Amino acid sequence: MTRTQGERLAALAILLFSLGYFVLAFGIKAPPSSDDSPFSARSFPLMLGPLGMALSLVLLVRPPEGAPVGAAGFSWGRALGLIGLMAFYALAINHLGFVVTSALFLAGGFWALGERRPLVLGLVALGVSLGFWVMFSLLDVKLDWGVFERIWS
Amino acid sequence: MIEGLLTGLYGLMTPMNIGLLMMGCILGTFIGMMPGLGPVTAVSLLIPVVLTMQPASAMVLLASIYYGAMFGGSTASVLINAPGESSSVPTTFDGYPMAKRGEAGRALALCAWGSFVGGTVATLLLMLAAPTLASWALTFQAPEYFALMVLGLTAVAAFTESGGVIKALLMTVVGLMLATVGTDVADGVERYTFGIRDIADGLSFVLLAMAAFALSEAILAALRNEKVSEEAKKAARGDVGSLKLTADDIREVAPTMARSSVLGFVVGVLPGAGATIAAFMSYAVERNLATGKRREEFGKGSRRGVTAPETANNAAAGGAYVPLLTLGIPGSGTTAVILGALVALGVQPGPRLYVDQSAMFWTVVVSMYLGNLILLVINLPLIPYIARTLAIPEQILSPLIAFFCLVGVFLVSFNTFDLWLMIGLCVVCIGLRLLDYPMAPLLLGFVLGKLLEENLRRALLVNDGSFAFLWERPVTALLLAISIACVLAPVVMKLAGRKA
Repeated sequence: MTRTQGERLAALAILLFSLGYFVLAFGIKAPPSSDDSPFSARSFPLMLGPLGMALSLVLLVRPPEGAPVGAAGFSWGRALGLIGLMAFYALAINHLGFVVTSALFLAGGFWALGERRPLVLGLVALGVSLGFWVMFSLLDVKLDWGVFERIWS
Repeated sequence: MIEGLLTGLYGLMTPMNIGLLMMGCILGTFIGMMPGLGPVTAVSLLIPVVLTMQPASAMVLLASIYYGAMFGGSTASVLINAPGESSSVPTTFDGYPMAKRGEAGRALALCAWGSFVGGTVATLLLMLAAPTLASWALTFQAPEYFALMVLGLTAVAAFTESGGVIKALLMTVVGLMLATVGTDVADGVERYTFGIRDIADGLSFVLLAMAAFALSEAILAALRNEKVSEEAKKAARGDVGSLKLTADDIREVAPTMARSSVLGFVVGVLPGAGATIAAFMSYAVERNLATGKRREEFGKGSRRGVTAPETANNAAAGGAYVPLLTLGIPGSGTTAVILGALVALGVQPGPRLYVDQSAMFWTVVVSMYLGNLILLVINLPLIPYIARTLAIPEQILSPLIAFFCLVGVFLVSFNTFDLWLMIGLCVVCIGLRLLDYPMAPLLLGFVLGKLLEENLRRALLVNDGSFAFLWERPVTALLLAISIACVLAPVVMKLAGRKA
């Protein structure tokens, strides 16, 4: 993707976002008491919507010139791996608990970015997770163990 | 003022606050040293932690993290030619050549002393300027506040470091839009919540700050796949040499420190200008003032060239607190994050802050004096050891930063919805950052959005729905005229540049 294409795509996305924002502003139901008021809950959004549309239109019509986005040197797999692991974290934390989810996330993150030393993958990941758990326990913040808590009890 | 300082000293001298101050200085230096991670990332990472604290303690920690990171930024610039943040870029011009000829310790000492002098002078000037500015601003009413916020938003957009003015303004508007999500305070109706209870109180500032800065920075680092350079490895294990300055060094750089401190402070006070512009300006001033052989030294290891930007960027960090603490207008991305934290802690920003939270103000001022001293006395000798962190490989660092963000956001609400929202916003922010859309105006718009709307509402209600207050009230008109000038200035300068 060239820089200009990327710029146009981003500007178009923000234009659509602003348009949607503006249209939805009409649906904001202000209470009857504000009927005579010069400013209601929908006034500010009705001002911002057109402003966002105007600015994104300028960018859409005249995208800034510049070098192509340097995607060639990017390691998309690494970044996507890390984002995927974050999604795993959000999914798993209530089930596997803080320590196990955190340790798996960290070990997975180190591995996804190229770390292969077992000591780092295991010890650092588990050490940081347990360290956080101990620290928060001392601060009276309860971080549960998810399914393991139920197994133990 | 003496009474204020004593109040501040009393407020600061608790084991908790002193501990936070030292932790902030060391942690800030540590994070600021990492290439690519600057004060804004450092402050963002600590937001979840400070939300459980008293406002004064939170401000002591955030302020020390801020100038600690400014201090740390110089180390990577000198040792490995990779500035931690943009305001340390001019430090590389002469700091790195000095390191290459075996004078790394001397360059680091110049940076440390420059930071100390810049930070201390700025704190002194903050102490003198803030009460005057706050008492003047206490006469402000809703129209002036509205105009002041517009000025803050446009100034930050106009002087943004990446992208163009249009992109920055657009990000400001998007930030304002995001601020309208949630229940409207005046009318009590929900806006843009789509029936989702988790956002009925609005989007969380913490997760937006994380997504825009710390988390997206971690993912971008993974995307760029930057390896630890040989220079970083060498700097991490090597000897930086003597950290002592000679009498000749002090004679050489003393006038530079004085000039750069004042220049940095003044630039820092201006909304939007910030530490980067201060650092570049002071470097240019010193180079232009130098004559003969001294001028030729610039770019090849000039002592003045190292000292000027480091003094100015720390002075600007202090200067940025003037509009933040007296007007409630942050002048940069970092101070916008700090302001957001204050709001989250229930502190109402604006001129009343100086009156209502006087003890907090003075505690922060005294902590700045002490913090700058800590950076010099404790952190400077520790630099060779802290420099070892330069060799931490990115495959370890990025997951750790991402982990801190996830834990930080999760612990605020114990709600996985916030995690999903942060991940989604982070993906959007990465795309925008790759296309040079600046994040500081987005966050600033978000932080000031509710206040801007509230003051516009009040101004319109008082004026029966008429917008005439925009040009009929002199201070409002003046502030708005400056805002327009801020937006037009870069365009005019660009056009003038094309003609030339």
